[in-house]
Amino acid sequence: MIKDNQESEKIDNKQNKLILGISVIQSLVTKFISDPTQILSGIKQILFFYRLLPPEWKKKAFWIFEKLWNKKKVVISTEPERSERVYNLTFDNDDLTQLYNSLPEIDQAIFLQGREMQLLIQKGLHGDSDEIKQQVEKRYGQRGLNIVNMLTTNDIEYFIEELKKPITKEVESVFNEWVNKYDSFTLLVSPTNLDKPQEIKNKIIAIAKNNFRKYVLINLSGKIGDCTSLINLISEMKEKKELNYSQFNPDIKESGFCKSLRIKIEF
Amino acid sequence: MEFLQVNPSNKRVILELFSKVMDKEGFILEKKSGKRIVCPYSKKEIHSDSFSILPGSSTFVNNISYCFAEHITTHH
Repeated sequence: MIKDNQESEKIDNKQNKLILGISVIQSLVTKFISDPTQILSGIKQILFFYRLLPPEWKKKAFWIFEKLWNKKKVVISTEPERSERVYNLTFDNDDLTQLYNSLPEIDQAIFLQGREMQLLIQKGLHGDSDEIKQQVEKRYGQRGLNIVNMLTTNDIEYFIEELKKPITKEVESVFNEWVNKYDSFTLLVSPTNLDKPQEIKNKIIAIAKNNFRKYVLINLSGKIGDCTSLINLISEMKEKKELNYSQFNPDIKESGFCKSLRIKIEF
Repeated sequence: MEFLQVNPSNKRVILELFSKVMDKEGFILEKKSGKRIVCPYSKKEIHSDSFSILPGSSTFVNNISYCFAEHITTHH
């Protein structure tokens, strides 16, 4: 008897959901026509009731789903936070936005990944940023690596400083020149290499000699002690006449849980 | 842009609405042909535990940053 009651409760429950599902779909038809801003909630309701609907109502639900989906306002994902990270990217200055808009699609895609890495680093998520960097290197090679490094180190600012404004499509050839030679006038120092100062000095001297610009750019991400070690090392190079530069400008900023040091050595 | 989470309770309906099904190993197949679908960017098969459907052309992709970035820049 109890079992029969439970069975009939289950059937009633299913029936109620079905009626509710149909009425939701009916209201969606009206709502969608009068208020197209309800796209996500409309899709969610269709997904919730779809399986309960009889075949003729499924067709109607599918028709509404297609209309809502074709508005191109929703991303469906098993990791929405990951796709959202890329879809919601913006640049924090107008020049960078103009530069981005002037580049070909593939460079724009690399640019977006560099910006994503930059934001992850700011949040202290260096591991996630490194994961993207590995993918960038694998997919786009040294050129891709150079573009994302220009963004994560903020060296892109030096490039923008040199540009004629306003930035137009003609920027592409200058950008290409910078990107292709970027790794020849910059050095990314790893804190783990600071115990080999001569090795770092040799690298700095090598890029200074081969460089087509009047400056070289040095970057490091680590603890404040790592930053001061590198600054001291570069000062020492001038004192010991190992590197004859006119001036150098160290710039230390917060970078997630680390400090980022950027040095421009001018000759 | 708004973002919808795929979870175990809505996954099959989502796939059905896009004419897709899953095979025994959890890879996504075209319902009609029964063939595993391939991400147009990574060129890899797509597992139902880790995928996104991007607007514009209902593109199924792997959850890798370059797949999102390249789709955005080619469909803006």
